[in-house]
Amino acid sequence: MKHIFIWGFITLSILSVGAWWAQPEPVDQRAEQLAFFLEYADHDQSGTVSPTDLHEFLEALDRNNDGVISRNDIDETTPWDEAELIERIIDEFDEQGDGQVRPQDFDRAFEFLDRDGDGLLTEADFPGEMPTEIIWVSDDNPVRREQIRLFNRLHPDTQLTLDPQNQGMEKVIVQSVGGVGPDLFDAYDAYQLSAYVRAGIAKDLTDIFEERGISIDALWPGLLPVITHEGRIYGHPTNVAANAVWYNKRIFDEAGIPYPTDDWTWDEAIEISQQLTRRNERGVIVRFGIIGNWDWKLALFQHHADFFNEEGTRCILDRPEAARALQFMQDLVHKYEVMPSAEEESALASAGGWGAGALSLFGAERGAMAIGGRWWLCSLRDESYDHLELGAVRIPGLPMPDGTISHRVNAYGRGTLINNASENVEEAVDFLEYMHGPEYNKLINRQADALAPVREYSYTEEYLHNPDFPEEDYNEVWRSVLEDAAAEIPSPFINGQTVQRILNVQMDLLRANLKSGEAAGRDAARRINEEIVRTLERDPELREKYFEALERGAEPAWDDEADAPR
Amino acid sequence: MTRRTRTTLTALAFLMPNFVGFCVFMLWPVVFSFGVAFTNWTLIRTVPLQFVGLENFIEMFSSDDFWLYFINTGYLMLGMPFAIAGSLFLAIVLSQKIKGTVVFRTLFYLPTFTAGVALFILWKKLYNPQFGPINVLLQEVFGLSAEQTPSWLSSTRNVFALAVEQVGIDPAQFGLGARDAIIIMGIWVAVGGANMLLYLAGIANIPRDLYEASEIDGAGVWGKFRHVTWPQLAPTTFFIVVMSFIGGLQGGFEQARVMTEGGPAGTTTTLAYYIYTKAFEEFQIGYASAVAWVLFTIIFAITLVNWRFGSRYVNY
Repeated sequence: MKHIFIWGFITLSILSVGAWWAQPEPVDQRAEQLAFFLEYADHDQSGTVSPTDLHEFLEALDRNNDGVISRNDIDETTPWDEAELIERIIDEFDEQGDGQVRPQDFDRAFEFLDRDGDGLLTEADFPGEMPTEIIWVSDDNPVRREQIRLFNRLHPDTQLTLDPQNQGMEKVIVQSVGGVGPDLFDAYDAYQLSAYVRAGIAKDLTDIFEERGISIDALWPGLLPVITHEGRIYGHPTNVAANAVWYNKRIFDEAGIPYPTDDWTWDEAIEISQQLTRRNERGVIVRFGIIGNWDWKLALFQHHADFFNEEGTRCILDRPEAARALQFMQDLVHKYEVMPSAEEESALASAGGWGAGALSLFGAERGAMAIGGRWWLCSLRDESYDHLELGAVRIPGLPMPDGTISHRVNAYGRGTLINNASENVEEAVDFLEYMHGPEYNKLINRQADALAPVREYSYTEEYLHNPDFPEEDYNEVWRSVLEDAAAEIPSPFINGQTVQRILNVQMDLLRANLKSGEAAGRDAARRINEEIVRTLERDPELREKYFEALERGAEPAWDDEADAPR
Repeated sequence: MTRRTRTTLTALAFLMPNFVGFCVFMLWPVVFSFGVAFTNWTLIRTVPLQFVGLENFIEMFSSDDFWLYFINTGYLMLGMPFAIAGSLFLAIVLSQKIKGTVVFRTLFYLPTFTAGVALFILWKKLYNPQFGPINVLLQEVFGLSAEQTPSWLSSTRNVFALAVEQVGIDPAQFGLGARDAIIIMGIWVAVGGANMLLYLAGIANIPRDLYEASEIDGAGVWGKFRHVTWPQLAPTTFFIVVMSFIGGLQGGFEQARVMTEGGPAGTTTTLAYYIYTKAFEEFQIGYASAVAWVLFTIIFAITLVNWRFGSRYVNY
């Protein structure tokens, strides 16, 4: 018996030590880069690396003598170890995210690593302490890593690590409630922000932003609901976008149709789309005139239809303008046959992952035009899409009953929030401050990860004309649609996932032509209003706010007092 | 300390790690969820935690969604008899002494140990309404037009013409849709799986002299199956039926999560998926726990019925 306990204790101890030892240590990027240079750039084995050594190192690898290290320096004669070295250099030091490492990139790295400032890289420059690691749960889009690398370079005592595996509101909330949440995480809409705030996970940054001089007045207003809740600030936008129409110039040229212009209307767009739709010998549509994630929200905004009344006390999708908007989306599929139905879209789709769906279909030329955002360029710049000749134009205008033309669209994007339980708040706020600064905003615009969150950086020549991509002559379009973009205002009296669940059912039926726009809007409104009542019955604090709003004249979610919250 | 006591304590010591793990990770959460089912617990700070009695259960039973998803759960179990019959058929065929049975057993068992997500992605491609092999086969071999072939995962139709948003019948919904697609896929996965192995083991244990006796009595193939094989496999069948009911009532989550997100229009949302969305997307933990316990009660009741009436036909 005694032996069992002894051996059991030994086994448990070994397992515990093993588990502790197997935990990944935070990687000190500075130390890794310094060790890299000392190993590969120290030609004379003197234990020191000077700026001249670095330049000679770069020249030695620049096989095609174009002044930069890129994958163009790798060919079939390149030894595999040298090819690996070039790949590693691009991975570590490519600041612009364009696959090229320039001498000035090495110069900046040198300054970053030369801790003692003696003009040489030596063993003495190895950092004494590990940087503070902060974790950011976000998507691993193609340009994210460059955004993070730049931050780490500017803040050598902090190491921001991306965790794309734990995305999803449910994961973040459950992990945070369990005490193992990330330092930073994203909210994709105002509902998610509301859920995070009400769960006590999002940190109130209003006072901190004021101390640091971060002003939300500098931001695009369309995304403020994603970072502000009941007048308080909880995060900073990561980027911001509004949709326009991408078009494939080659398809237009083949069909002999002039490119669309910003003053086009939906009638013209439908006519063009019908001309550009192609069917195979079985009558199946193989190329649609226009595609794009069947964006019914866009239609609502353009028809000046809102989800909720101003105070958020009642869902108003049963109003005539909403019915018109939803019917319009159904007609695009079933009456005009210019957009795919759900089954047609699934038939054409073949790819998954980030930015898939309409982007992939457009890239595969399954659509002559596509409703999408500037962030599509993160993928469309890839050489696999070189066959596309791209143009962009505003969403077609919608003639309104009052004779005006509506170009109103919805703004969208992400906001990055800080975890209330984070032990590294200062470092996390540094990251949000970096998002407000010139380096980050210029990088976002350069990378075309939608548009920079701070407005002023989208009103520069640098934004309009990127010298690395001179063919992108449409950046003005993305800025102008954002100027027309409105924010999606949620209701504070219902969970956003509940709204989404109800809307998904109605939109599925609408798109499948099983319900009219009016019926879908009416049924969605009825069910959402019923859920508002249920929410008020569960949450006394919300109930109090709700009735205060009613006293101010807001319309309730019920028509009959018998349906009022018990 | 007597030898018997020492032996007992030693046995308990070996059992303790597993038992402690069971208590911590299974028993305690189950008991905890039972308590939570009678509260209004959400992850929202502004909602004070309160005992609400049977409110969650009343809300659930008066909710259209619950009954629709309960019907979906039952609907997806319609493939069960076909899966069991298919497993029995395969087991009978593979128990014959013919060349290649080992290879075939392995091939039929492959879907069982293939990752579910991989299978679901594969079947999504197969169900592609325009270019998927299934619809192409229907068009080429049976001469159906593109409009006549089912839309499968994009369609709310079903063989019982069940309405979409309320409990009832809607003739316009007659056809093959997402639910039927999932049933067909489920049969394909289950036919060569664990049930087939159980039947193979059961068949191997049938005394040969029973077959010899039946041959002497003039029984043909069908007679031998009906009077020897089927009765002798009664215990195995009983076990498979009970376990299939339990698994079927709990199932549908993976398919909904990966293939359809519960759609189109909620037609592939089962009770298991409903519990997940209520708990982790809408944060109504109390309500979700109540649904979970109702599901447990249903499973328990059906299992009891199975034991009570099914066991009559089992001869050991």
